[in-house]
Amino acid sequence: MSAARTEITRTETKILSMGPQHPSMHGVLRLELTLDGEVIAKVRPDIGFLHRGLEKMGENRTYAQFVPYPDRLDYVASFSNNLAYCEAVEKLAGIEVPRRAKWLRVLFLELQRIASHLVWLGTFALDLGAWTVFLYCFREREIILDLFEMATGARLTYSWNRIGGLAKDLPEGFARACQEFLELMPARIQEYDGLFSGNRILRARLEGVGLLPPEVGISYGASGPTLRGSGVDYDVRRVEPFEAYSEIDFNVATSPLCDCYGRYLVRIEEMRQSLRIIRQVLEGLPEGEVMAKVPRTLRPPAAEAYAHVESPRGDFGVYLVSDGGDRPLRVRLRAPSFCNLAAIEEMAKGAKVADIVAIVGSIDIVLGEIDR
Amino acid sequence: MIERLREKFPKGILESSEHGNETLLTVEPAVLLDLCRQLNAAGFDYPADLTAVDDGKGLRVVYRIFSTSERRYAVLSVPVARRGGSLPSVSSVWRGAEWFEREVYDLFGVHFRGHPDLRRILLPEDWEGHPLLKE
Repeated sequence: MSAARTEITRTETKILSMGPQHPSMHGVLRLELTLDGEVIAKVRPDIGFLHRGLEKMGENRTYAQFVPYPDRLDYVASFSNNLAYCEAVEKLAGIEVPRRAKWLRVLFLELQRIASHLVWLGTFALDLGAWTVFLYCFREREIILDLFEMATGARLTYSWNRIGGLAKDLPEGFARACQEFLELMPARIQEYDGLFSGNRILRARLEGVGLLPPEVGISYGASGPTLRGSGVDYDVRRVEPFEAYSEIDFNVATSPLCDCYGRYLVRIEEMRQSLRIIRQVLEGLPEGEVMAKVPRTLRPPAAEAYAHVESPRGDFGVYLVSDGGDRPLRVRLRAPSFCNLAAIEEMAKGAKVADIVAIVGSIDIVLGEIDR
Repeated sequence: MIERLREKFPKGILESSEHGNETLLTVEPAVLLDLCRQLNAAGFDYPADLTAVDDGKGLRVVYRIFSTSERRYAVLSVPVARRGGSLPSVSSVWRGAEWFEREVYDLFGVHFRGHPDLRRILLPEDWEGHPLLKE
């Protein structure tokens, strides 16, 4: 090319908005992409489209009135949010939850984990163009939702944890139905893994994409499979066991790969471990009450409490500050996806636009908990 | 650990206590950044949470930092003014602090000096006021 032609040929970066309405942006998320051709120079997530002021609302509700609200945060794994809130209130007010309730909470949390990971897996595969996996995952998820409906009456936001335990004990037939689920699930997980890991295109789109070095992940406060996919074995169930987890055997799934594929491997293994946990709960479930004696209007002492659980997305925490009144002074909701999404700045380095879909998918965010 | 920190920051630590696996410290804003750097160097590497509490009498910013190696928390409580309050940003110590501090600015109005990109994160950019303050 002549000198005159090369002078006028240059590249410029361009800013492109991906979202908030986009078929593969999980929820209302806007990513401001600065593109240098097809390569991403910078990614700035723009959140807040789903901000409903839940923390402020918590200050104007009694402790019991606020119970159904946390379900609406991470609505794909509502049992975990609801559990963390109830635990925080129980800690604040010094309420001891009966043993049977602790074991049942583990049961429901693990069923919730599988259901959430199935949504993740199905939509992740769908984002990458694999339709079949999506339909298979949702078929199994229906069975779990049927179990939840049998026990709680609801399919998505159950508000089943109450301050002091659970709303009700298991209904007749639940244990048998759950057992049937445990029997068919391992083969199904094998099927998904086969369709996924055996697909060269999926592997090529995920391996080496979205790298998150472990120290960077820790510095971001990332958690859950997003952090464990970088080899860090931080799992609240193991590090700060809650409910009955200290009495149950399970492995914490990690992967040293640090990429999207590593995060996939962690979640697949977690589903298997969840089945293992549920099996132990059904075998070892203690007898007794599922609800402690709690005063009608709870006035915890003027103090603070922090409780956190391992939700399917990571470290979900609730921080309560009380002034001795019937409603909290402050309800702080610490959502794992908030920190996990912030880390996308690191994971998207050198990525192309198509990779962003895989990266966002691999983090498994729910805007409800990010925005609150 | 409290002993060592009190030695390094004789005037900076107003109150301290231990509770299970948590070390709770009430910290003067002037020593916050240095203290955070020390904590990070001592293995407190994971910013579990960074938020603020307005208890009606005053405003404080609360830092909950976890040590992944020792499995314990350092919880810092830093008093700050309700109007025009500012603190040094600790986003240079823990990257997660960047978004946490934006949220505290958005909802409580605290300025974080040295923050690379201090703007609202949840509310629209043209929103007026800081809703979680108790007026």
